[in-house]
Amino acid sequence: MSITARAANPRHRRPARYRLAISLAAVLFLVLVASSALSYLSLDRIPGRGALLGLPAVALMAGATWVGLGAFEHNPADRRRHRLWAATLFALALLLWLLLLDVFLFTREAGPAAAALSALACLPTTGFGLWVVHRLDREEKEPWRLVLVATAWGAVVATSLVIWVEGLFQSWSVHVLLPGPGLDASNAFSAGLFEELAKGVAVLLLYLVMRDEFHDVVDGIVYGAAVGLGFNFMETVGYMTYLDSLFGPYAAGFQWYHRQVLDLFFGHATYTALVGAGIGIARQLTSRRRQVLAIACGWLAAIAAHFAWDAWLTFFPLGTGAVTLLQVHLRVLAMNGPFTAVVLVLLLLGRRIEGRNLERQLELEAATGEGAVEPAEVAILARPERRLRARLAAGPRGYLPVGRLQRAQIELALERWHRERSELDQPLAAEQELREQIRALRLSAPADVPRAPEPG
Amino acid sequence: MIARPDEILPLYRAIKLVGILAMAIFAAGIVEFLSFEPPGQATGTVARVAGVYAYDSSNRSAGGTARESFRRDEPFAAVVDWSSIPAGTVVAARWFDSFGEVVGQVGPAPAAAMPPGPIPVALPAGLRRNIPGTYLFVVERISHGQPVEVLARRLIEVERT
Repeated sequence: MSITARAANPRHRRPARYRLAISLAAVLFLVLVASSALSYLSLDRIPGRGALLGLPAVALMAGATWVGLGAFEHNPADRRRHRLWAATLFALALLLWLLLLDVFLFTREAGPAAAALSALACLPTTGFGLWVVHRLDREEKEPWRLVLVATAWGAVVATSLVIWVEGLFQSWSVHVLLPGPGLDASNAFSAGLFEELAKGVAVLLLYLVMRDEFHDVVDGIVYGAAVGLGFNFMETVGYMTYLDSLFGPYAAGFQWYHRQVLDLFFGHATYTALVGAGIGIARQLTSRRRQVLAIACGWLAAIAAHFAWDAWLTFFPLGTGAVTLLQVHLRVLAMNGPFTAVVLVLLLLGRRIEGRNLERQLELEAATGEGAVEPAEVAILARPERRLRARLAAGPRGYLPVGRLQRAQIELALERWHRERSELDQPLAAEQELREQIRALRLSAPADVPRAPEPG
Repeated sequence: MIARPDEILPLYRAIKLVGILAMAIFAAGIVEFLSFEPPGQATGTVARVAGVYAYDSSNRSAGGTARESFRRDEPFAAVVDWSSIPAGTVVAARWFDSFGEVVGQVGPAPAAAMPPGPIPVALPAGLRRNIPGTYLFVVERISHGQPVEVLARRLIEVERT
């Protein structure tokens, strides 16, 4: 057995995408600092109620500084660990601070009790949405930690990014344009442009930094929809508290139904899934021009879908009485339904391509005789329902070990697929490491799982 | 040997098609914007708004000093000096609440025929107080039944508490 530590498309330096990701993160950080400063200056009640989230944020910042300083005094192995901890604490502090600002900006109308109740009402529906979205990728599910990071970005970072820029745009437009459909169209364009940019950046950063967990169009749709669900969560809480303060709990309840039930998968989840689809397709294109075009088309589609909903809602006026409820549902179906259908078509196409290639790569891997995948396992691994049956057949004690083994085998097949298409910048040795892991997992799995002969 | 076509190409073509659809939506948006915001309509006419005052609905009069903010339970109205506009110009005046809904209106009519009284903000159906937020008052020039130019504009804040 020979190992050649060479990448499919070898590069001598760190990939350029990391530099792009760092630049993007730096710009976003500066925008967030500006947004934070504006929020602080305009919200005179922050000092009094800010302790709830502000103090933990300060404590986390202190922790990040302490751990970060420790990184200079330890050996190289510890240094990396300290830096990772410092970065994690810093990110948590930043999230808490932004959450604090969001809470004040979105919920000050009705007070903390109404805000807490609204948030509680939205948690189960958003959780259900995330569960469905996570299950969209039948072959290789995205890690929950990344899906939740994407959701948190949508809820906290994206909302913080758009508050001021949309406010400034609307302030400008109301001073310059004629009130009416023209002004509505310009505000709808502002909402589509800025909100989709703020949400889509999360998917773009995942694509640039977490390439190992971003395989294709299916993954892009999953991450995009997760960001959208997070954004929808925070926006719903904001609208519910505002409407509760004006019209009472019935208006807040209707808002909850519209955004968290009727529109859960049709609104923001669909828009950002379109961004994710473009980025996911670009992940597997070789030409730089095509990559840029695919990403741009996905983003434009998201902005256009969002714009169409905001600008043309008035063309679907609601009547009165019992028929209104039917009209509300038909309106969502007619206006957002086509875009959701586009996402579903892309998802199904992507799943078919992914499934076909997984099966082929599993067959090729089994034919090598390395023992990571056995010929008898290919038919089981190639179908999600058969994988589930195999896990169930392993019994309660074997369910998880067999599941881990299957995941590692699928991961290997995906790695092979990307290598065949020259989409990897990791050395070939990484693939060999996966085989070693699979052998170790096979040994810890129940005895009735077929075992490969030891190589050599 | 014939090279196998890239299996990602159908997805690439699909996303390009979606991009073209997006451009068509933007084009429709631009047409809509230009039809309601027609270019080249500026006449330079400026209407004089005397101010926005507290409004007494029982005798339909505005009084006190001109203000830029009101409490939610305080009715208010704008007073326009119609003589500041050429008499034959067809105009209308409208109030918009923070949701963009029209909550008060006079006209359209030639400026000389506009009623001289205050133009009040009406309460939305089912509410006893105004909705908080920024209210917009505009005096518009009307052409072919459509507003084409803003001759005066005032922004009024209705306090949240």
